[in-house]
Amino acid sequence: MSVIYIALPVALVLGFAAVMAFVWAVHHGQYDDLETPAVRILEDDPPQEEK
Amino acid sequence: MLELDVIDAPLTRTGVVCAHCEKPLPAGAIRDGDSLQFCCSGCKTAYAILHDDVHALSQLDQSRTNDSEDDELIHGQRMYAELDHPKIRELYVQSVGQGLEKIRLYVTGIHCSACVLTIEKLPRFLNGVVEARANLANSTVTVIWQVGKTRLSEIAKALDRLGYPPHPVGVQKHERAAQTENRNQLVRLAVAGACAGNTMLIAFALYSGFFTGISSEHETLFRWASAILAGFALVWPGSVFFKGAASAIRTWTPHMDLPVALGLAAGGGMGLVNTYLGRGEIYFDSLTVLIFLLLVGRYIQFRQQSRAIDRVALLRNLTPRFARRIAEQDGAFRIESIPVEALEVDDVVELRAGDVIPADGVILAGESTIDRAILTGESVGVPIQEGDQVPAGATNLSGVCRMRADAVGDETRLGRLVELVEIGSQGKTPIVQFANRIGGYFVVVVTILAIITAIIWWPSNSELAINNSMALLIVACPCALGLATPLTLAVAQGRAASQKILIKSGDVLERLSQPGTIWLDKTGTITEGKMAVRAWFGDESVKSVVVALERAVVHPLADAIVRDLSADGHEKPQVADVKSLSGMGVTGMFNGLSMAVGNETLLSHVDGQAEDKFLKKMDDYRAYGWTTICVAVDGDVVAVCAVGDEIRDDVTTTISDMKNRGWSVGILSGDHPEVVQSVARQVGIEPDLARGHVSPEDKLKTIREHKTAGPVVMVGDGVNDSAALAAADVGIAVHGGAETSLHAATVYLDRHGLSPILELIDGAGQTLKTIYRNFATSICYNLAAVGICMAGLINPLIAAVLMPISSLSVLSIAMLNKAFQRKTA
Repeated sequence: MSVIYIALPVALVLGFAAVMAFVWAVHHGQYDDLETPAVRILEDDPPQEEK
Repeated sequence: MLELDVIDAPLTRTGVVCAHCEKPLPAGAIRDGDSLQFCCSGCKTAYAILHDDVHALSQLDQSRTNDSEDDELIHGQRMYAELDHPKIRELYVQSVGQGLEKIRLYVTGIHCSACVLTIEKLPRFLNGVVEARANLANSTVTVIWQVGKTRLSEIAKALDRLGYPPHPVGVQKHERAAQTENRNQLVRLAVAGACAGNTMLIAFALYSGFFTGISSEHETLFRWASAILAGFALVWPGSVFFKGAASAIRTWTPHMDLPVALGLAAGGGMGLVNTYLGRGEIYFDSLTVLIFLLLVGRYIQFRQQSRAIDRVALLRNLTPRFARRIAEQDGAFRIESIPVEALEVDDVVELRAGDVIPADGVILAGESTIDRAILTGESVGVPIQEGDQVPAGATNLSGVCRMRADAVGDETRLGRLVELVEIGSQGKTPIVQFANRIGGYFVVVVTILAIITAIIWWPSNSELAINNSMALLIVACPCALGLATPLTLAVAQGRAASQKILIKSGDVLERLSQPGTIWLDKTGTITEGKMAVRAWFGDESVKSVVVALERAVVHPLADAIVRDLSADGHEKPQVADVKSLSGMGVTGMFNGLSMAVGNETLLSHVDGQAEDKFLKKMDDYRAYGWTTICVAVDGDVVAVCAVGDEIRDDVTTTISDMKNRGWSVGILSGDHPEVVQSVARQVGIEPDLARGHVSPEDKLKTIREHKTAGPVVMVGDGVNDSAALAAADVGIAVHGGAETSLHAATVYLDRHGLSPILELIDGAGQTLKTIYRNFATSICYNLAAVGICMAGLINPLIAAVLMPISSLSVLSIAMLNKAFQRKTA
């Protein structure tokens, strides 16, 4: 069971990383508007420029 | 390419559907004769883009080439020239570097994904626009453009053409603060959630060990790991409760944070000591979950509240804020549109029909009628001419005039009334919410119980005594209690918002739960605030001739007559020689007969006379507060017409319902006392509670005087009501209210009529009942937990099971709250 000495810290570090990712997302405004992005996927791609 | 067969478009039970999004069309959006029907301009434009509708798109292009230097409307298109003024840049535009500038615009009419699609295509329509981002939740568009390539007025025009008239939104202090607060709360929530989740995982191992055995070194590891996580949760997200408790102690007001902080401190302290000593119980799992759940409840309520505040704040930007300044340039006069903020004293401004007067000043030339209802509550338009003083905020109804600005901005009467709002809101006593009052008692009771527990157990075992009393402090921590109020309020506020009742503060619901006094403003609240024909006495056949004559006149009374009498479907008679006499009425010829329509001054002017029955009828009408107009043919009065402010449909029933619920209802109006009395009679308000000629200052005073006897509610729409709205326990601004009233009131009704007030009162009662029910439930759980503790039977597992169950029951009771539910489901 000594693997727990590695597994527990690793689990905590992973959890910490996830929290930090969330905090980053919050501070970059990704949670400021929760409605519009959902409908934005319906947008067309811009028309292809003629080459 | 998407192909829609419009002819076969499914018809729903509600009628026609939109050709683009296939949602049922809202009433009023249906245009007769069009084979394609659209619910909004977004859908229309999107349809045109998708179908390469050459005609529709060329219309968009065409109007763009139509620009000229004129500031006026071109083909009904506003030119937005005032947006290019330096003052606008200073106030609203942000520079984002690399020659790019950014502005936030509030647009009306965004309501579906097609709207978002259309608006975000703006860079394709307009060269120089880099990005346009629409926000569906609050109807704003953020536009970034390249300086020099396009101008703000161009952007505004393009949006207007797409069907979304834009209004610049300043970056308001409260919005920034709300955004920061939102982000901070989310981060705290994330940290608390992560700590709680991980501590629970570890607790799982510890509980398993509790039943099946665990090696002591592993137990120590798990205990330390959860101690670290819980410590983290306590000092970061948990600090909110300690700060709240500290300020509650400083100001000596009871607060829900007090018992929470006590429980957290006791649990954290005991847990750390026990972890260090390697024996005894730890409650870290319960503590972290407690922090997380309480923060969730608070966050949900915060969201609902700030949404309501946001929506009201954005509505305030709807008021057009520009003035037509007459500028002299090289000896020539030209009219330029400038933002109101840029107007200076001694500027000369042109006022057209429908313009809001931008400054206090004097009329230099021209005649007109102005509507001062928003400032004074008067329902009848006031005639103005050269030399008359006009106040900022009033609306010019008819003619074109020129005025000189004598006072601008805060110096105007309007500006001073806004200051009065600040004074009004200062005198407001905050109520201690029921939850917080309970929190105060709770802390005392729990502490006493903990001491009793310690005393009971001390003789047998001092260590056990401390452990048990500490455990009591922890399990008695009112998680469900702390969760109950914010959740119930958030559910109620959210439902109210979907019923178009925007509640800015949860306090409102608690204040409205006891009946008190409701003061209603008259003009614009009880009445529609616009003139309508109320009665007609005499010859019916001249109606069409009267309409034909009044059509030539620009006056609110004439408008009312044309609108209401032409509905009878008469043929259009030919009238000749029509003369409009200012302050009197109109004369003309019909079939060789001379006609005169106007007041009694006109009657004597044309040497006319009226029979007694007409004179008597006119006196009757005047007693109702109506304006009388006589119709004379060849000098003999043949009919009398009464025009007055229309009382809203639902007012009489709403007022009697309010009275049935124990509220006393009164009128506070700036209008003439006689008019107020007559309206009071018509809607069933006691004469002694109907007060006329009340100045804004007096309204404020009246509200304050009545505060001693129960809650005072003020309902109004004008600037003159604003101070009273701010000072009242609950200020309710009705639909279409002035900007200042939106700011001052705590509730905004985004729906016509007064019936939402009844829903609000009923909803408040139901919400409070739910809160009480929640309290009863959670106190039962707490009593059970305290009993177990005092008996010394507690262990962390029981605490860990008890808490989520109590929180869940509170949650379900809050969701089952019937307040503000749609009656027709």
